[in-house]
Parts: sequence; structure tokens; C-alpha cells
Amino acid sequence: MRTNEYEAMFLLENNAATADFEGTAGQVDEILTKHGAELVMKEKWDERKLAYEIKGQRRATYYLVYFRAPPASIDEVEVDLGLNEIVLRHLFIKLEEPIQVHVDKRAKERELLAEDSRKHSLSGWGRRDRRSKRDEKPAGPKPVTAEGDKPAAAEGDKPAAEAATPAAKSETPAADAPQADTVKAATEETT
Amino acid sequence: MASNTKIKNLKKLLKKRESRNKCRFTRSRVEYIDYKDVQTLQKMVSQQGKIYGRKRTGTQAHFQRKLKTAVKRARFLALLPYMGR
Repeated sequence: MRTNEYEAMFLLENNAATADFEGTAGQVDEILTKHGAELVMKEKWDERKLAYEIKGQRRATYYLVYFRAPPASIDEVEVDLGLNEIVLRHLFIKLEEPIQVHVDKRAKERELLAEDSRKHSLSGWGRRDRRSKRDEKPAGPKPVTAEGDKPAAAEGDKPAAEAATPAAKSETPAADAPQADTVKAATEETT
Repeated sequence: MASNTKIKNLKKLLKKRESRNKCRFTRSRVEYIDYKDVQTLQKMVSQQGKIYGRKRTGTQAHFQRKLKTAVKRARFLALLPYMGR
């Protein structure tokens, strides 16, 4: 008989699933195998908060199963799942690739996407790195130019040297202060 | 000198922008968008739960189509909201 490969996700009622996961998952497995499915992989995917309430439930346990089954059996399985109260919701997806290949590829792609978003995130480490570099940059080239221009700055023509070299800064406060004082004095005199 | 470095910085900036603007799925060479990858899907969806347009995210057309099915599957399984907030 021709079979397809499927991925199935079940939302299990949380009270039952947390109390006895094996038992509740076993019920689902039973339904699947009853209709001729051959289970390949099964795992408890997650126990998480739902984005919205389903049948009055805020949380649910996600149960992920990969299986092979004849296509006609899916309809029968869905009828049985509808009657079951433990399964809140289910989703079957027909896979285009063999199960193992699919699982490996998805895991790899997930990592790639996570890596990519880490690299390109706007508010992550990348930006902080750039900012620290930007802060360092003005400090970096300063001493190099300062050394060359220092004698000129020391000798005279302070305003020009001040504009050209940051090294003159150490001298400028001292130079500026008296200037400011004189200006102040001048203004006081005029008043 | 100063203008030269400025131009260099500008070019760098443009390059960065370019690489940032491209589709994230093309960048990481993905074949399929998984509905279980909630972290990635959440970035393609607004606070309200609407799927962002291609203009905003720069997603390529065939990935946008795949994204659509992935988001809809995730919504069905209550991994993403139909309507947020």
C-alpha cells in the first residue's frame, strides 16, 4: 500500500499531559497506529502558554509525531481525534522529503536563522560594538597628530593651534581662563 | 584626507545597509520556513499579529508565500495570536 510521510502536532490538554504524559501521548499513538500509521519519531515538543484560549485552556502540551501512513487513513484518524477530549487541536502536514532529512534540515535552518538575526539585529551586541568603536576613534588618532604639532602650539598662535590639534587642549583651558576673565572684567568695567 | 575617509565610511555604511535590507531567508539560504520556529516568525509579525509586508522586511516573493503558510499554521496551533493585544 502506498504511504506518505507526515508530521503531526497535537495540543494535549495540559492537566492530563502534565500528570501522565506517557499515558496521554500513548492515547494519540494508539489512534494513529489503529488506522495503519507507522510511527517514526515522537517527542514532547514543549509545554507553553497558548496565544489564545482553546476550549477554555490557557496552556497546553505540544506533542510532535512523525509517521508514515496511507493517505486515506488521515481522514479516519481526524474523526477519532475529534471525538477525543484530550487532544485540543491537531495539525497534519504532508512532508515532501524523507522524515530524517526533513528534521535535520529544519534544525540546521533554524540555527542559521538564529545566527543571522543575531548578526543583523539592530539592538544587539553588534550595535554596542560599533558604538564603543566610535567612542574610541577620536581618542585614537589624537596623540599621533598632537605630537607633530605640539611645538608649534607651544610656541604661539594659540587659537589656530587649538583648532588644528587636540593636544593643545591641555593648554587651552589655562589659556582660555584668563581670556574669559579679561572679557568678564571688560564687561564689568563697561557696566 | 578627511573627505576621503568620509567617503570610505559612507561606502561602508551603504554596504551594511544593503546587506541588512535583503531578505533574511535568502541571506541564510533556507529552503523552507518552519511553523515551529516561533522566534523567527515573531519578527515577521506586528504586535497586533499582522504579517509584515515585503516592503518592510525585504522578504523575497517566494519566501513571503512560504512565510504566509508558516504563520497561518503557527496561528492555528496558538503559537502566534490571530489578533494580539
